[in-house]
Amino acid sequence: MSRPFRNPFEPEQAATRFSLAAVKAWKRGVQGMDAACDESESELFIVRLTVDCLGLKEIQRLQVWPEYNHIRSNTCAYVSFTQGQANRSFISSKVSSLLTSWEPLLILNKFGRAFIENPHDSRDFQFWDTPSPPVRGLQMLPRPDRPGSIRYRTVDLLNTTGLTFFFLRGFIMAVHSHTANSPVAAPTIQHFSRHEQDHMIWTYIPISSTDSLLRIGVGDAWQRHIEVSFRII
Amino acid sequence: MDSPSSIEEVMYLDRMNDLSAKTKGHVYITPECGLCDQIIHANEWTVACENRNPLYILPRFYRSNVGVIVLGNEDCLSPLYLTKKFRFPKSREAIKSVDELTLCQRLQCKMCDMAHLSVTIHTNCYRVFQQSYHREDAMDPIWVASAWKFLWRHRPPQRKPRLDLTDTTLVSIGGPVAEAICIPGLASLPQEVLQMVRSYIPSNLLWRYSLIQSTAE
Repeated sequence: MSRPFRNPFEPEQAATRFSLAAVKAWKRGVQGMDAACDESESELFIVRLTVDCLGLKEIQRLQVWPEYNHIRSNTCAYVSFTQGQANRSFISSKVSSLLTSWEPLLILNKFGRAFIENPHDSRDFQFWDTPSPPVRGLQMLPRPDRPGSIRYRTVDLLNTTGLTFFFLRGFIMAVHSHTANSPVAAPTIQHFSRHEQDHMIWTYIPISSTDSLLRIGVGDAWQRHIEVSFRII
Repeated sequence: MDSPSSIEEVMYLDRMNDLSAKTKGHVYITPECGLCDQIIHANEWTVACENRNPLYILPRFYRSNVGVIVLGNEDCLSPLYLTKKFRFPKSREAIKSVDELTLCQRLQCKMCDMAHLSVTIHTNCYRVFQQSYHREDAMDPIWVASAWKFLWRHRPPQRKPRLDLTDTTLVSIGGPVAEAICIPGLASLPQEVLQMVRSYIPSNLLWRYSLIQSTAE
């Protein structure tokens, strides 16, 4: 199931390669990868990857799609592989040059980093800012009509008093959720350039805790209809 | 290198021949540094990596705004080649050649789709990493720290989403960095105060270098 890979040009460096579907658990920096040849296990599973600013942070195997739990993160992104996608992907882990002998199932690594090789169609993958994307209840999921992975961000309406939508040239650039911890919308657009900020327009929509929000739609100047996806919980 | 004297050098020359056959084409460059995640401004100095011995062609001095490209091998596991430093082209339309490579920024390019995975890095960030990594060849760790930031080789490279996961609230200044800029007291400041200092000079090189230094170590 797993086979070591060695770069012939750099005999001191080694990477170890597994089928992603064989990895039960992995964490960056933790010694070893819990990989198992478990063809006997016939139950379907999902492989969830956690990414942070350094790259792949964690691999988890889940038996069922997780229930939405109101957790979101600005510093981590989450992407899920179906069992089939995991079967077609391989994961390589970089091993320290100091280690000359190593066990195929227990990788002691110096860099502790891993890389996936190679989902052939990047289009299939969705990055979320929550470990439990509320995909099931969504009525529609916007997709740009161009190839490439998609990065979805969620706005949790729990404890939200209002939403501010920022537009640039007719496109939604950012959404700020006003809560007790983040009452001001300005920091949301800080990472845009001065020029972009100067040309943005924004609109504020108060949300009452006694009303239930069913749907928000945005119409733009070109008569296209952009819908914002909502799932009311 | 006229008369190769060791096995390594022969292998190195083989690799060079192999390289020129494979990679004379385009390489897609992004205006984002693979190590510090900051934008590489036009005319900043940069380097790019493929499979060449980095120590051999590493530029001897750097201005603050210079970069390199690191190009990976076929399976993306190891660096293959490091370009000379170059100034980042001004516009997407500008075609620039470095070594044997054509640096391309077009949003749609069949030739870039075929190219090996590559990362663009500020020359200064490259140097900081190399200095902070206390072993001889920092090329491989630099590759892992930059090219492996995204989980896989994204196709097409131009549509790779910006994950934007940098945690700006996490700031730390190591003793050596604080001493290098002659403010040794900076290293002993509490997080909250450092964050305030950062908010006054958010794009200062200091934060970039501290981040790279801690990654390298």
